Amino acid sequence: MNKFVGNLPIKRKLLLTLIFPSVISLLFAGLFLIVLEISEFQKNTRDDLSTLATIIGNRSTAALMFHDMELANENLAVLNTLPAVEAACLYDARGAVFAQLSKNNDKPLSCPLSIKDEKTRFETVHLLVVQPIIVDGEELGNVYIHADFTQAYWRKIEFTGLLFLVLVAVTTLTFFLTAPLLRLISSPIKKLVNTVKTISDTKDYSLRAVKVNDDELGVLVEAFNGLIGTVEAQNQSLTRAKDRYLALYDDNPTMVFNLSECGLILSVNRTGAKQLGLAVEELQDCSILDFIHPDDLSIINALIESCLASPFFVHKQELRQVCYNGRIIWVRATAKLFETEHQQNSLLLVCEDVTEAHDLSEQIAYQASHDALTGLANRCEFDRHIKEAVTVACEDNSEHALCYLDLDQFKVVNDTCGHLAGDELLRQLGDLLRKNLRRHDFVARLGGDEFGILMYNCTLDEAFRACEKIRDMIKDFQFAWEDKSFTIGVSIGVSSINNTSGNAVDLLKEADAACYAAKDKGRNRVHVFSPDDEELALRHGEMQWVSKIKQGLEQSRFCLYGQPIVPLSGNIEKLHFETLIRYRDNKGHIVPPGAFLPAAERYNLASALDRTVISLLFEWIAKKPNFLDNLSLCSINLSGVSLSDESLLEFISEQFSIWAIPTHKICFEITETAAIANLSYATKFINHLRERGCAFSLDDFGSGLSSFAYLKSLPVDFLKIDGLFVKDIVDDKVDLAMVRAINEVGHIMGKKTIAEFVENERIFKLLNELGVDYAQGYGIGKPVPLDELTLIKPFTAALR
Amino acid sequence: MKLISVLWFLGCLLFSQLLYADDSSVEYKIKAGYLYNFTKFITWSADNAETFNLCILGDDPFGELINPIEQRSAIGRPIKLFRFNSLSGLDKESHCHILFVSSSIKDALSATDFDNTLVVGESREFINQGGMIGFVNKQGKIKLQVNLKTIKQSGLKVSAKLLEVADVVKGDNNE
Repeated sequence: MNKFVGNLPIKRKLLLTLIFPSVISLLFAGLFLIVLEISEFQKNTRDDLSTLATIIGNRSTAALMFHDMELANENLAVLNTLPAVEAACLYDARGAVFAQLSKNNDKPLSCPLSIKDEKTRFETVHLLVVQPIIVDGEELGNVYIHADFTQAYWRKIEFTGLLFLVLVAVTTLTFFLTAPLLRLISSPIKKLVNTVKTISDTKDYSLRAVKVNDDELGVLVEAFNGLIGTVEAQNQSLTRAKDRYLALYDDNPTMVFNLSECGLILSVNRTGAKQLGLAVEELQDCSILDFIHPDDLSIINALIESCLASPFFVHKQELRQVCYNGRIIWVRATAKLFETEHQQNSLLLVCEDVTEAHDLSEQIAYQASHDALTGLANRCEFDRHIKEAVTVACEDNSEHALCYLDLDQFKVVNDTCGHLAGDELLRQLGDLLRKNLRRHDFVARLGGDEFGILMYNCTLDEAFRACEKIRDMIKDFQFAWEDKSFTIGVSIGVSSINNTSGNAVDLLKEADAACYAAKDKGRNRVHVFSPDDEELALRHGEMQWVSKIKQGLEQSRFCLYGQPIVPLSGNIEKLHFETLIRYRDNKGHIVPPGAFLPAAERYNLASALDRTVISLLFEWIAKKPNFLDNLSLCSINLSGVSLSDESLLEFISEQFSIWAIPTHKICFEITETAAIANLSYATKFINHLRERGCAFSLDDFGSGLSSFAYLKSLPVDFLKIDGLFVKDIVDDKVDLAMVRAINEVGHIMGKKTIAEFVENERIFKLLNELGVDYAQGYGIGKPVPLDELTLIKPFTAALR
Repeated sequence: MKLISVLWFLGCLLFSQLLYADDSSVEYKIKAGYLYNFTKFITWSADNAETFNLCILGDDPFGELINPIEQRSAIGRPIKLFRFNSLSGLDKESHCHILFVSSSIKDALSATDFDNTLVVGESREFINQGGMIGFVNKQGKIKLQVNLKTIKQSGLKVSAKLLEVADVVKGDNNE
């Protein structure tokens, strides 16, 4: 019962609290009222009737004494007025009925014969009153009254009932009036409870309970809201922290695995799952070994073992992982053992995808050891193999052969068909060599038109025969380029690698010398090294040119040529030409700079040559009468080395002042590559001379790095468009577009443009249409000695 | 208790005698009882007498019937019977509280001054002849006649209850 009440809602409890005392008090009050009413009524009626009986008795003393029955009857008649009185009797001293009141009722109660033992008492609703009449201590008789209070009791009951009804009505009214008050208490509690339930169900901590009143419940609601606010704030901060760490874990660019000691994946982050190509859930309970490249299984096992062996260290390895789709990625795996809260060890494995870096390093390694053009190994790689072969030969007395190949007519191809053709020829020859050698022989391109072959376990005789076969093969090889066809020859030098061989450099020198000997003997032949060859080679090599140049500088063997540059617009201008250097050998033959300039650049003689050109030119101009008046502009080539030669500036200034050459008549030509190699100093160099009035032109623009961006930072006056574009401008639309673009950009930058390699009228005309400013080339004028320079006006008919 | 048993005995005695006596004896027995009953309703002024004196004037109609009354008391004194033959023979020294005048006495009593004495007679004219209370026989019942004037003159006080049972009341202020 108590529990049942305890489980009732608060509203019901309040209602019960209100009703229960009311009902109980009503009940008890009613009962008490009834009892009190009855006892009071009984007492009153008893007292009243006793008094009446006393009075009647008193008044009837004389009647009794003197036997006056009438008087007695009269006295008794008084009771007639009381409707409750049913009977009234007067007994004399002997106990006999003396007088009797008889009412007009249908059924009058007769007086009992004897009232000797009767006493005043209630008998249910009847009251019997026996009142003795005593005078001077003598009992004269008794008064007996019998009253029936049925009606009176009924009236009492009616009255009590009415009272009870009124009380019930009042209680009901009170209840209805109290109900709103109850709601004042129960409704805020119910609201609070509803809010609490909603929050607990939905976990939505942003909800707040509504404060209704400013009572204790209001305080409770405020306290609750405060608590929920704290919970919400903490919840949010926890969620944020969790999200942050989850993001840190899941969005980490590396793969993070948590492994058991035997390699089972306990957990993995999203990146890891994405890399492997499976969902996180699918990966769980898989073994990490399933995703490791079979060749690297030993690596990962060793990694796990070392982690278990030394748990306080971080261990790193690079290995391959196999993704679900079969893709292989290189990863740098970092692993460490850590102890979980359950005293169990697990491995933290972080794998970073280094495939790109790995590929790149492989590519770099490949590029470092291979020739980009032919795909063969390069000189460096070839050197390494020679060293290995030497070592092997020393160890097991084996004999190997080193062959040095130099193409004979390659320059022809290069000069007549251009570099592209030369490159293609080299590529095809590389393929040819690779295909026609034993599998374990090693082929390399050593540079230019030189190849090297390392024949393992091969005697000199065998090598000689093999080289003869190669020579024949190359000789039979027909190289077709456009409408031309070429046959080329090869000179091969062979040296032996055995346990008596020197170092790799010496061996290569020997082979080179042998090759030179072959060339010297008349090309297209195979020559096995003999010590005499070395001297021969030395005589004819680049070193030869070094001494020749030095000699030439001393003996003034260099002379100057000039090639005219003409305006395309057809305007009549004064003489404009480019100064070119030539070497005159002791037989009087003129040698073009292609023969000696590489040697000059390699052996640091380029700057000296530049100075020679400048001083020769200035001297010639100063001594040639009236030449300056006819000269518009004269350009001088500067080598890349000269641009970084600080003393050159001083030299130039000195030459200007010695020969009194107006600076504005001199233009210096520099190559883009040379300028960019030391951009800051080159810019300084250019600016210095330009301030003095000299002009600058950028040579071979378009063939080098060809960056317009660099063009912005190079303050030059002329752009010389590379002849490679110009010569095919009529047929090749790409070349045309290139020339047009370079021209337009040059003009927008305020530079004049000069087209090289203008070989015929069609090119000249097209260039004119494009709006190129100047033209230069064989079609306009070949290089001639300075003295023969004249002002020429080519293709006048083609001009507008 | 003792008193009740005595009364009971007395009552029984009275009624037993009443049952077996003739009408005359019954009548006087009642009258003797009434004489005693008068002591309950009449208030006498105070005197020095030690007894309550009941005097019977003339022929004694009660005879021995009244004698038991001497065993009783009134106004706190023992009742003592006195019998006188004539009015003149009334003992001056023993004052009569009640004087019963029997029918044998025909003299008018009006001239006589009865101070502090209740004079009771037994004729219809008795109260008119200066008596105070007279017994009259009316349809077989003994009724009382009262003369208030004479009673007042004698200095007695009478209870209204006695007047209620009286058949005739004379000398009332209303008359």
